[in-house]
Amino acid sequence: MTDREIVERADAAIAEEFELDPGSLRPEALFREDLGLDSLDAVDMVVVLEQAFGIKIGKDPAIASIRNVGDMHEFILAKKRGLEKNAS
Amino acid sequence: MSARGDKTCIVVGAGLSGMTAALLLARRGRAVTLVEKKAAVGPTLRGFSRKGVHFDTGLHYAGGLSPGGPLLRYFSLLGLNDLPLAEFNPQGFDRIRFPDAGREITLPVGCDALTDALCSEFPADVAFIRRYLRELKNAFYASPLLRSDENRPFRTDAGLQDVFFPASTDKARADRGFHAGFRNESLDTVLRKGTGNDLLRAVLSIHSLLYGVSPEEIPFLQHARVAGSYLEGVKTVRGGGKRLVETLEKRLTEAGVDILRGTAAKGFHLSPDNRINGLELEDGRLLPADDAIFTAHPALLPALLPPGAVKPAFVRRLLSLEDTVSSFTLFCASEVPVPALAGNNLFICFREGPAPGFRPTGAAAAGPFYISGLPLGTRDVVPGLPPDACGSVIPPGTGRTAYDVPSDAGRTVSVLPPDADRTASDVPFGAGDPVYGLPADCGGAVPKHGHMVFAPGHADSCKAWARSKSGNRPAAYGHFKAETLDSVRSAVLRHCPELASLNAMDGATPLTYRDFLESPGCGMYGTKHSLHQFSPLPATRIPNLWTAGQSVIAPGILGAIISGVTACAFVLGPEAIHEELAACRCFKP
Repeated sequence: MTDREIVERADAAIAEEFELDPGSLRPEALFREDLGLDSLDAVDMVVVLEQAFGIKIGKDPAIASIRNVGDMHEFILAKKRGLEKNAS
Repeated sequence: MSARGDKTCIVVGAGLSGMTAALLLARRGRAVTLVEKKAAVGPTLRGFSRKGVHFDTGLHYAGGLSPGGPLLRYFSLLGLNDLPLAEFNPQGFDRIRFPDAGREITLPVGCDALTDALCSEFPADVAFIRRYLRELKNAFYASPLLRSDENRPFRTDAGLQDVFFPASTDKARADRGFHAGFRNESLDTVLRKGTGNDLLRAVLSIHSLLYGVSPEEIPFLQHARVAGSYLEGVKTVRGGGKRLVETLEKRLTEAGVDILRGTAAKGFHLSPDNRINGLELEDGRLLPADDAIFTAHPALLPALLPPGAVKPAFVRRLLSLEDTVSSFTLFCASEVPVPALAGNNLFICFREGPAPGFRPTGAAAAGPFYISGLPLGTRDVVPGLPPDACGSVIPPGTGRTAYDVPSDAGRTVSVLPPDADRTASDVPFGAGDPVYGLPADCGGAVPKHGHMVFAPGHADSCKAWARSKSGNRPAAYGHFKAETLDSVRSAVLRHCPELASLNAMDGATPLTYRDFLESPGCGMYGTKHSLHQFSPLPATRIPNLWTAGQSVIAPGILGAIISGVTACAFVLGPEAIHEELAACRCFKP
């Protein structure tokens, strides 16, 4: 999976599960201020990403520093790279 | 609003957390309706009877029941002060047998006594044992919900607020990272860092069997919330969970709670501003509601919400929550007292510790096993009643009260009612007693209490029969159940021959628990409190709907009560709960 495909899949899953306009998911868009999501949604997002990519995230402390869509992309890309590294 | 003008609150599910919430809300002037699908409230705590033997499925033993202890304070809050308590052996409330090590470790009641006992068993680990037990106690009392000297125990604004998606201006907070609880390590990690002794690790993680999550997955802090309670006041209610639930039911009635038994909830009704304004029942009735508390298994909540009421991600998460472990269980009775289970519970575990039992591949017969004992002072099982006593009912007014049969110890035995719906310890005896009879098949002896033998079980093992319902399971399931339970019995007797007098009267599988506990994933204690998943919070995405139950705060008697209290703190405001708790603080200083 290329980075671009990963980002697209993450965006699609989040737009659908949080009923957001896909166009609003610009990398600089802040989840709290721009997209109206809160702490409760963040917890749900973990499960959305886990199921979109078939991976386990759980209570990864890195989630707490996700503030905008770009942070989320970085997070999931790092997660995927970490898994590939472990597999190889 | 009700006719009286009070705000109405609906509580779905009359387990311990639901009853707790209903009682507190009614006492603070709410018009409360408590809706329970099963025919009686508190079905798990109430237990069941077979041939006159009662099995206490909800309450085996609890900690924190010493004077001033946290559970006793919550009992006091619920008006349960008059419940008679029964102690376990202070020198050893739990015995842990390690067949592969040829050792048996006994856990005494009290932090100092436990420290001394473990230090004497594991002299090379004295420093670690002292540090660990101090940490366990500190972690237990770190919760403001358990600390008696906390002035403002309930803060509904604490928790997740602003922890995730921190405001863009609050970078410092984001860098500080998580809520303290999330940085937590697993119990297993904490123990491995502290000691290389596998037997000691097994002893210190044995109570994971009482909340159903592997030591490898349970955050140490969460473990402490359960295991820490066993450091003081290990007791049970005389008469068991059944007496607890019957007393609570009385309090609910006194407080004016409208209890709907045998009534299933069909769906919440929402107003255009997405607030709950009613609950539709399966029988077609519609109850109005200003607030609602849902206490059933979290995975059952989405089906009660209209489409579009919450975002799909919320539903997805509730449906994805992993359950605690399930069990294959033998419900046994003995006609003679079992010394190995008198005044203590018994665990059978291997050097590896309890973790293998939590793995889905673990076979039931491989253990570990937990066998429920009886508290001190339980009247002995007395054989040798006259044969004509069996199946008889002693009519009122005949002057005959109960069969007075002297036991070996010179005591008098009370007898069981014919409907076998009461435990022997409930039965008063002596002059002027009411009428009691004996079960027809008692065989000339009155077995008074049951012992339960719990082996680990997993939902997957029963997958093939998941669609079947209790009372209508296929024959293949019957064979599987019998074989598995037989293998459990053989294994337990191999490791513990002194339990040979236990006769299995019934058995349970993960499917039994799924249906009996209304637990879709077969878990014994709701969903897992785990390092790997976020437990449901009291607040939901609907502003006047809250959740409570074992899955929300913590499992067990204490966890369920506290979760009910916490939900009320959201409905009534924390000040109201603070007042209620402050009022009962003086109970038995």
